[in-house]
Amino acid sequence: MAADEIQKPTGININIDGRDLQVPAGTTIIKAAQQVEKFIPHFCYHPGLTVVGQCRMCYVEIEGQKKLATACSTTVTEGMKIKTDSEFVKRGQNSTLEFVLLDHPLDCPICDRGGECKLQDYTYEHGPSRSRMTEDKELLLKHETISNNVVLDQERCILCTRCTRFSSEIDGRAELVVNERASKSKINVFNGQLMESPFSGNVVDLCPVGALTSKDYRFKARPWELRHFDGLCTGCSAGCNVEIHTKHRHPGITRPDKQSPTPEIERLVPRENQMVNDWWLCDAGRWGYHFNNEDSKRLYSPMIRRNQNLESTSLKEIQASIEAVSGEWEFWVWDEAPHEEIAWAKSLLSSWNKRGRKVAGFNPLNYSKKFMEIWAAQASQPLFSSPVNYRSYKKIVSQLESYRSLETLVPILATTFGPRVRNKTLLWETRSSKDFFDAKDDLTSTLYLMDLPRTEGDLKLYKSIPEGAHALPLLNHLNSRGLLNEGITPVEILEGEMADAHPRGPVFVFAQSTQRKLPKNFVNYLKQAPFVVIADSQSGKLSDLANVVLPLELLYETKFTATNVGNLRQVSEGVQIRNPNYPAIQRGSTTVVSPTLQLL
Amino acid sequence: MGIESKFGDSVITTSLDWVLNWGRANSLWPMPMGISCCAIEMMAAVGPKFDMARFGSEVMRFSPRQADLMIVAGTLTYKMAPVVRKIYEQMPEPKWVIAMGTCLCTGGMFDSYSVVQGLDHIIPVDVYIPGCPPRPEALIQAVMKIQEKIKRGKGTQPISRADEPVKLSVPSITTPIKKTQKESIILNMGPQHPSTHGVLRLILEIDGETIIQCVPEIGYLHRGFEKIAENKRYHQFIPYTDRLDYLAPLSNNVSYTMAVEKLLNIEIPRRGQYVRMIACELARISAHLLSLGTYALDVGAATVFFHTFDEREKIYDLIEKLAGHRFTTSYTRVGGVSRDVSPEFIAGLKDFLKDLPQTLDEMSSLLTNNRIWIDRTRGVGAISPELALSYGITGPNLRAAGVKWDLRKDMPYMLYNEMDFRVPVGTHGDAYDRYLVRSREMEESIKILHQLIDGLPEGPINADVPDVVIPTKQETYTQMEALIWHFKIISEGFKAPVGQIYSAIENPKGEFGFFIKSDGGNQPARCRIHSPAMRSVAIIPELVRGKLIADAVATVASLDPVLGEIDR
Repeated sequence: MAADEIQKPTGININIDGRDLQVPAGTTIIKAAQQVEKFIPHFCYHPGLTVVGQCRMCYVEIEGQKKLATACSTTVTEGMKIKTDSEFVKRGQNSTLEFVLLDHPLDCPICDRGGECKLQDYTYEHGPSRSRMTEDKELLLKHETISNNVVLDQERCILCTRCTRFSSEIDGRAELVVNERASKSKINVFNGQLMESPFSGNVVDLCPVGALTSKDYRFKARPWELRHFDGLCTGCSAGCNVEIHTKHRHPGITRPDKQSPTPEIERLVPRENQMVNDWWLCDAGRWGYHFNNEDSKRLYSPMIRRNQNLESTSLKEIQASIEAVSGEWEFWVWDEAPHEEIAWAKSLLSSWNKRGRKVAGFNPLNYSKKFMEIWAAQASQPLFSSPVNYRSYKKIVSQLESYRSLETLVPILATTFGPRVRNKTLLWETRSSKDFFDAKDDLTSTLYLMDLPRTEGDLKLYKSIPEGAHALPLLNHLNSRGLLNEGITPVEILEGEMADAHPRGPVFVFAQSTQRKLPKNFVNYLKQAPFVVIADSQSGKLSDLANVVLPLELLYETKFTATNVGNLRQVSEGVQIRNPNYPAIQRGSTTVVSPTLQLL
Repeated sequence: MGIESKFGDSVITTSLDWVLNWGRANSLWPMPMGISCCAIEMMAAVGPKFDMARFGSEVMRFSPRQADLMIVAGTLTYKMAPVVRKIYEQMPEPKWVIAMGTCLCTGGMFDSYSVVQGLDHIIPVDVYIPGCPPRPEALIQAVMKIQEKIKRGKGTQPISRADEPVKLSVPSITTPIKKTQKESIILNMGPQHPSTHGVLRLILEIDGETIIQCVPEIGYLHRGFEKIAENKRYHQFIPYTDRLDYLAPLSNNVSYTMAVEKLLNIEIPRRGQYVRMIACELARISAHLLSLGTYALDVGAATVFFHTFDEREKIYDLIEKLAGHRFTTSYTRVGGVSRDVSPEFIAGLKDFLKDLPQTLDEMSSLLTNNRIWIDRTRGVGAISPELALSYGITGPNLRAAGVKWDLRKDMPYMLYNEMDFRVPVGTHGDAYDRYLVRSREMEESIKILHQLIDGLPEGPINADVPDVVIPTKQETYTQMEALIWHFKIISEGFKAPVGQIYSAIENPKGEFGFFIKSDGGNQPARCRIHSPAMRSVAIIPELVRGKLIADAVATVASLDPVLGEIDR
């Protein structure tokens, strides 16, 4: 046997459209063709889903075979000669499209997918230009709500079953199914129950036509009106890669309310990254961008509180008012603050130190120090050094055969998981830190997703986790991991401690408006401070407490860097979505610091 | 019955406000500020069919100091803005402003660096007329709106518009030439002058009536066509071609689509070619009529203008039947035309061709042997064949100079080689010859049109190239496949193969061509427009040096430049 394996060639020689290439055994034609940059049109094939060969769009001609073969389901064999654009193939593609279009409704002008529809693209490229069909089209369900966010149109559906496969294979809930058989087949939710999956938005991305559309994006824009930016989702510390789609309206036309139109984010769609989120994105992140568009909330000039009211003022006046405050300053950095802002905060801290102001440092609670000591100590132990690293962590997860897709779901907030997912060998569980430490489970055979210790009591137990245990800490906010790397304890961890703590003096907060809720304890904590400086981009509870407000750009407006839970440092492109009339302090691209710092 | 009963029949009583308003409203004196395409429709409103004189405002004169209503018509560029502002300031209070056309409302389709995005950026506006261009009826309605506004006002109170806010501060106007003689003065003819046929500015240095030097200054209507073409898909640019030589939009449409078809290597069916030739010849007659009408007007013979505008209205009615629009036609499509000709159109065209020779005769009897006309034009602005060729002049101006060069004959395109027509040629190359050549060309066009109507073949009008030619509405509304192809061709556009071509046709003004370079995308990588009128303007300094100002007027008018095409 061993000898056989050695003799086995490392690759299989094939020929695609006259080009020779070598691919590993077991490769499908559709993947092999990518190597020679031959795109084979397809509807049902998706690299993240099982292959079903259902749509018959990916026809190729294989020399010596009488019939066309589907490229997605045929694996290569030695010496295979493949043609992707012969007359035979073209006829096959043409007929497939004609067949698919038989019952397709004439919806393009009112369909959300129009312009980015695969059916349109392929029909224009490979399909017939005129119809031979004179019969009436089949009438099915139109705009049927199948979840809080997704709308189904059965007439437009071409039955590629990408959505049902996602629902059963990736999501695991199998909420979408194919009902009836053959020409009567149609997609619907199982038994009329609305989808509850927190990943339902992905079926909208997967749908190659306009059968599944998201309520959030319906009728908001045409694809060619959108500009695309490569960004990061700011919802949690997974750091899912997204494409931000913005619509820029004509700046020359003022609206009836005399405001010139502001560019807006219209949607987020996931961007493939095999190290982070594969092809997927959770609903919370996907539809949590709306706060960015709330233009009326924007802070657009430096403000100072006089007689209970915030009034616009100059940076000079703000500087003077800060100079006048005495006491030991505390600096607080938000868990969403990107590395650029942390650098800004740090340079500000050192300059204040040099000027002889009393400064207590970042997020300065007693608990913070103790936690950071343990964090640093644990960093060398296998518990944290390996599993927290996303790649090795993936390895563990890959053992979960039946739920292999969960790997992509892990970094997302604990509450999105089902109660318990069992596998032959591993137990996958989510627990609060307290429960986790109280449990007397065998830590080496169970994989835990656990909250970080929030109290001193937790901390002791935390230290007692044995070597080789499979426990992954959950970090819930965009740059929590980045803060830890920078030696700052995330606010999230300090929340427990904050309930009883009091600020020592004036507080400077580098806040960041996101979709997250404000921690109650932190608000109470700030209320006790004699003087509060808030650097933020939108007004809200924090600015209501502030004595001084410094306006910042929104996260999406600057190019920012954040470290995700897997310790991967990622950059998000800056998007122009600000009302041009609102000047905001720019955070700078990397470590460059805003000019306002000099004033302070 | 109060006090009136004692005054008798010849006395009425009313308020002073009412009398003043009544007087003002019914004797509006418009100051025409014609900048581009819309100005032609403004002229049409003054013409015999629409007859603006009904409002007591037949006195459309280029004299701001007497006028009280400014009708701005056309695309306002940043270069033109100070001129408009200055003329507006020269008008006495009270005064009113009409912004005619979409360009002056919002910038319109010209969202380019050189175009002011609305007239209200520089002066206060009373009435906005949307439309590109608005029909003359719309202008008349705007005048009525102004009348209503005046009647609503307090006539006795002083009206000042000085404090009305405008968004843009405009720079002052510069004069980029220096005097060469002590005694001479610099005189600006244009950019707002009735005799420069648009916003051409001739900077003249004169000694008495004699012109010492002349520098044509262009760019007052620079709308950035070539750059716009690079940012529009091939089909999207067709409406822009209407606004190039806005006296012959049909012909421009044909020229552009022919260029794209050459790039794509598409052959048009015979019927499509015939329809396009009908369009081209109609455009030629229309453009020549306008040219001769304004030419005669500039030289002092106003009657001809009314005759030609009457005929032009008939052509506009025909074009409306043909293309659906009377002015900016956008008639052609890549691979054909937007719609087939109807029997009504053919019947109307036949009637028109019956009437037209009579009008041409009348015009000829007014001018050809007219002593004053001959004195004003013969020997004026004479171009020798060598000079004409060295300046690259084409079209009637070249043929008047004695060079027999007509692309329809010498580099035949479409099916002109099957047509029987002559190419009229002048002998002296002067303004008089140019008049004669244009008149004869119209007669030849009538001949061609007769042949086209008689020989109009049956068959399709569009080429059978489904990935380029837009499906018909009928197909789009009933067939899924056609709907998708329509959607894709419109929203994404077809891709042209990599390459570059130049294609030109014989426009009314001469060789009008497009150079298109494609990098394989759905937009041109570069589009250059060859403008015949550009060459005609370049030669003006040669022709008017040492001549009288009045000769300059006749020279410019006979050369027939159009600024939409020159400034591009």
